[in-house]
Amino acid sequence: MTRSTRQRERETAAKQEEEEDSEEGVRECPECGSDNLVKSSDRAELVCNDCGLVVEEEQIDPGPEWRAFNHQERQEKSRVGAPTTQTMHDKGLTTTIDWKDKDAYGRSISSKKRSQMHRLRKWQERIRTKDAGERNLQFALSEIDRMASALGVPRSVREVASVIYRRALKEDLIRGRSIEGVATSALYAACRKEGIPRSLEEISEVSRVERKEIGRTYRYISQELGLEMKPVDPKKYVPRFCSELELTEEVQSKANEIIETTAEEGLLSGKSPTGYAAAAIYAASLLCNEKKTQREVADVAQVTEVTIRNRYQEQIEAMGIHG
Amino acid sequence: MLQEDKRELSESYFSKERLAEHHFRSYNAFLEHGMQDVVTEKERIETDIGDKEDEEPVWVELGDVRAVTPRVREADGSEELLYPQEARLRNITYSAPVFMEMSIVRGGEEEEERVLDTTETKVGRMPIMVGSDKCNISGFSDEELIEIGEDPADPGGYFIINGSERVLMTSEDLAPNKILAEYDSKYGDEIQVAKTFSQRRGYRALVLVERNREGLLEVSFPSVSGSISFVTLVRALGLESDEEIVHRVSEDPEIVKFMLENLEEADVQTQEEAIEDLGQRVASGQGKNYQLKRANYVIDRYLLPHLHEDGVEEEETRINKAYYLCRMAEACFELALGRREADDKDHYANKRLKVSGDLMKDLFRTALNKLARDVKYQLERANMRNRELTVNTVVRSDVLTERLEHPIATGNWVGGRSGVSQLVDRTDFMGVLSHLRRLRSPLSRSQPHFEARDLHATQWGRICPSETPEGPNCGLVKNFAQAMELSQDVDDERDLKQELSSMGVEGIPGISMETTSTTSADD
Repeated sequence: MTRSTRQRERETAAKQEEEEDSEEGVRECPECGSDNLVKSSDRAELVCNDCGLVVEEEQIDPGPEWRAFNHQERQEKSRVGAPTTQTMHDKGLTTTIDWKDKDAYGRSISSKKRSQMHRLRKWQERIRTKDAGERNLQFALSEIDRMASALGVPRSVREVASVIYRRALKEDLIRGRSIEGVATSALYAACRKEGIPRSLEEISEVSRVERKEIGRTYRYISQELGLEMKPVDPKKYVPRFCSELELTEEVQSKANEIIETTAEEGLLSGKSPTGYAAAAIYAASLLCNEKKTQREVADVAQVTEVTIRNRYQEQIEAMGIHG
Repeated sequence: MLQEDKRELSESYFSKERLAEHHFRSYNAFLEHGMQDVVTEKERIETDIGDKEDEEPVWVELGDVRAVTPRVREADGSEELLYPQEARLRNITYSAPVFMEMSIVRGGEEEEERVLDTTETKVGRMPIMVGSDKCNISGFSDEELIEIGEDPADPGGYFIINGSERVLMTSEDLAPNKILAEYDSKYGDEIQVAKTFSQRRGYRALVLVERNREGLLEVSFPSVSGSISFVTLVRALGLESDEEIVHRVSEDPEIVKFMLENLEEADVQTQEEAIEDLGQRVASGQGKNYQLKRANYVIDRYLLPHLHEDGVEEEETRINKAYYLCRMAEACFELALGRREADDKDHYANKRLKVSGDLMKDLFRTALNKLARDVKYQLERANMRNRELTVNTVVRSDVLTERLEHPIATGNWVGGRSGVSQLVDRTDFMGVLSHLRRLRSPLSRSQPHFEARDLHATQWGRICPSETPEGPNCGLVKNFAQAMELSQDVDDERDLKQELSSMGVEGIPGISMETTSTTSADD
């Protein structure tokens, strides 16, 4: 079992590195020009699979030490620190001065040294963010983290949101907009991009800016950054709404079925995906004898009952059911 | 007793419920009122808003806290009930969302107090012990357990963090809030010391009363470097006259003689002088006013904190502290005169066990403080940017979750203890049972500590005399005896005191203030 996890880890690590390499665009065999390079972690080499040339040797293996059975051991035996992350303004590579006034042996230090450390600590804290742009980033990233934490958004999406914000900052899109607004739209965009959409209403509930501003800023940055966002698939909303309404799997699959068949007939175009999903769930709940009122569904999906009624009518007509 | 009855009795001690019962009782008590106690203690989160001119202060009032049953939050945002087996297989944490009532209040200076927002909000996730009251499988029948992939014979009593099962090791500590008299040596002389680990709400302070080689009493306690004269301290606490001090320590003529020596050496005669003297010790080189303020603060904050109680006035607490110090002095003198033996630290009456609930309470307290700091920071920042202050936008639930999960996952507890949580030993079924009923002494295993490792007569019926590892941990890691009964501390001390008072005990602080005025306040 250990063997397999290790392999998995190595594989993912190798994959990541390959991705990084491809970004740099230098990874092809200097001898035969093939891009079929293989990383052999057993020998710490990068080998060309076609001609056999060793492109790189003595690579550093960032993985943990041999034999680590659980999380704790893996951490202890790891030869490197935490991976860099985009969610921190310095990518998590800061030096921090510990607040404990102890030397390397754990002994207390003299009062003179202590006040010196105090000063160093203060200045370290001050110069960590070197300019306004950096401060801006620090503030925005902590906002993203705060909102993501309130929404229960996973780590990977926070990473994406941070990258979007960083790009916006680099292209000078923040000017004239509030930091919070751009941060919120970056998070909204990241959620959509990663296929776990949150509606603007949900996002604005935890954000410190208004819905209107988020929408406006989002449109602007997605256009400027060329995010090419496709309309959200209403099916993405189904599991969440269903679990909030405490509906069974059966209703979920029925709702998905309704969405699929009706969307094929072009009913979805131009309609709000949340409303569409809500109507399908409402219809499915009726069909499966687990009726929820329009009010209940509307509350969860944060749409109006009118929207649900309209979409519902269209959907059952298209399905050929008469409710 | 009949043979059959005996058999039934002994069998019931081996029933499933009994094996990890101490864990369940302790953890359930924590969920039921321990968590609420911590929140009530905290009461409110103050902010620095309002320090500036024309700005009204803002703070957060904390209300009821509750945990639901374990749930998992999927990436798409849906939330579903989680069963232990799923948590193990998916490498996720078996934890339940915790909700707390919070209200942001502004005003109080010029404007009227105004509640800006009040909501019950999710503040984080609490790891739930498998088999506890809040566990999703509690009350399930064997068939139902098998249905969801659970082992009906599994005793529970552990947590599941990131898919790994972790037990919190019961730890054996010296009893707090108890006077322990013992011999010590200082500069080659034998001296007598009375010790008390005074503990209240997670704050622990060691108070020492020493009788040095001149026969003078000295007291040391946190935040005062070195030691101060016993007489000075009791005078600062309001026990002024010579007669009263002597009377409070002991009536024994020989001890009175010792006390008189001490009084002769005293530098101060009145309470004011004593507090001034103390002020010079705790804040030397500062202004006079600050010295006094600091001295009073130190007395009320760091000296014998366990004597504080809600609803008891500071004045009364101080005099109780003086009486308590007199008891400690008496213990010192009695030891010096050979009237009593040194207290046995290995005696089980002088030990208290910290079970999972107590450990979780410590953890929750620091986690809540961390959350409070974060809320304060978020509030100040939102206020600075003139945003509307709402509860939902200032609480980062990750803060609390992280602080609760990380120590259980790594075993690095608050207060620098490590190895508190351990991976459940699944070598075989017996291994699990033994592991859940194991307890650990905090003494270092690299030092001999021969007495602590020895089997003590008072362990009879409580600790298994033979189950202990070989090697460096021998005698420091122990296991419960099968028929061990673990009693819990009193939840409501007031009830206990009322009861004692009705039985004729006089001078209990906060209970019988009106009935006793001149009579002795000794216990």
